[in-house]
Amino acid sequence: MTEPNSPIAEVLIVDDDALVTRTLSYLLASDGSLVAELFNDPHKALDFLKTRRVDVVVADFLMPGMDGIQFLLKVRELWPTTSRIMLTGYADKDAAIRAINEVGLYHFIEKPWRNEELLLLLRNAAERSRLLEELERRTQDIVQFREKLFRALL
Amino acid sequence: MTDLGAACRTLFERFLDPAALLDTELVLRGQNRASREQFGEGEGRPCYALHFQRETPCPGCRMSEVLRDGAPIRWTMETPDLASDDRRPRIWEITLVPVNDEAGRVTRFVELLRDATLTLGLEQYLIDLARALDEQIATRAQEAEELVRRGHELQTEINRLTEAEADLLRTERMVALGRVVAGVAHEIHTPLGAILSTLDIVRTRMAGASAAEQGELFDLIQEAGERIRKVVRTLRVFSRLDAAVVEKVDLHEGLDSSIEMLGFEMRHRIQVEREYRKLPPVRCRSDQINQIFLNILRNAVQAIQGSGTIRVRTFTEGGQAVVEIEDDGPGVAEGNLERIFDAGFTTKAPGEGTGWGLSICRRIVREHAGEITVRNADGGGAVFRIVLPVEGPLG
Repeated sequence: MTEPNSPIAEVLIVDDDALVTRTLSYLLASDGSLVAELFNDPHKALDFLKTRRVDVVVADFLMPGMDGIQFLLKVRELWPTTSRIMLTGYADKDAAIRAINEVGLYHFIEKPWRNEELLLLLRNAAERSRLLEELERRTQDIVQFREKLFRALL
Repeated sequence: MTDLGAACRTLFERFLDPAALLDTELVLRGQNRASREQFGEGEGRPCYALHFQRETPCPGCRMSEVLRDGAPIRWTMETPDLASDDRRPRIWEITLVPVNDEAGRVTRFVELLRDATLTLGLEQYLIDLARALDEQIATRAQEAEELVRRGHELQTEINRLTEAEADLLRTERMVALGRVVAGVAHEIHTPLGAILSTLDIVRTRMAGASAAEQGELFDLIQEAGERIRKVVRTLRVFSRLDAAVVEKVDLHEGLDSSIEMLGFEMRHRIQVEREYRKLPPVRCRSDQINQIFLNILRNAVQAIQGSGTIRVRTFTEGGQAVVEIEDDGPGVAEGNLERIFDAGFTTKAPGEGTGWGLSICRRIVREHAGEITVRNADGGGAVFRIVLPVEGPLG
């Protein structure tokens, strides 16, 4: 499954249901290309994200204290290039789709998910995240180069 | 003994009404005392001149008929009252009696005048009254017919509404069920996701897993399966939703299942505190009673903004089962306490409620010979109180 040269991507998953995070920890561990950071409390997940960037963030929609939309909005403020994915149950699907349109999520996953689809989605999300990061870096390079050029011409 | 002729003369002279003897030209040939007193001396003058100050015979005079047939005729004639100032009409009753000579020819008339204004007026009044009464009776009969027709129309309308209400009851129940299904689907999808995902891991990737890891994976599947079984067990109570039978029911079971069904909507936000006392089984239709519990509990969930607590109390009072459901939301506005059970009344935003839920609740409870009321708690939240007779609607 995994491309031999693909770098390891970091995925943060927050779901108040330990059954979900435990299952996903096994799934991601079995994949090899993905490293999982698992949280059952969105506040603790945010504290973690304040200290470092990850490639992909997956959040449950319905959580105590803070719902998935609020959580993912805060993630966007912290790390705009990180791909954000919403995990939804059946009853809140409409709300989740609305949220994707409103706050610009990368994708949503419905429970129950298919492992292969989920892993493919996570890898694509990580890829996208890295490409965005790369783009950002190149843009900065160009800006700096232009400034240097400008100064040289003066 | 006096003879008849003398008696007739006395009768004529002393008769209480004016009487006159006329010839065939209507000229007075004699008059009695009453006539003289009322009209003055009139011998030699025509009757119409003496009585009515006319120069020609009165219109409607029937003298010629009496002359022709030789039989007396009585008629009435209306004239202005010449004696009074306002000239109110007076009605005269005129009787003309023919008098024959020995050969049988009519040579004279006896004319009797009677002021019939009062009697005929009264008669006319009575006739008018009778006619008015007839008309009123006819009108009333028509009205009665109209009422009967309207009654039939209303009965038809009532039948139609009764059917519509039954439809509405079914619809409300289906809507409630639909919401439950959406919540339950979520409750099942999470553990189902865990099971399917873990099974996939076990099948395709377990080769290198340690014994401890394998055990953990099987534990996950076990745990998720147990959770689904619990959801399905609570669903069992609601699977009886259309069993239309009156049976002895443990209300606590229905309350617990209803609370469980709303778990998805309440999770992390609302705590439920149960204060159950011992309750005898209550004879009722459990499908309908559970619909009420679900409805009241859902209202409580919707009333609580943010986090809060719902208290569910049960106890017996005067041989009746009492269920109280209290939320710590904003309560019911004083003015709405009376109207909250009215059909179509709602304070919810469009799409959140139809306004029929509570009116249907009250109907169902009353069909069970019970009562449902609402009050505001001291703390401010709403308290719904459902009282059900233990022996149920059929005694």
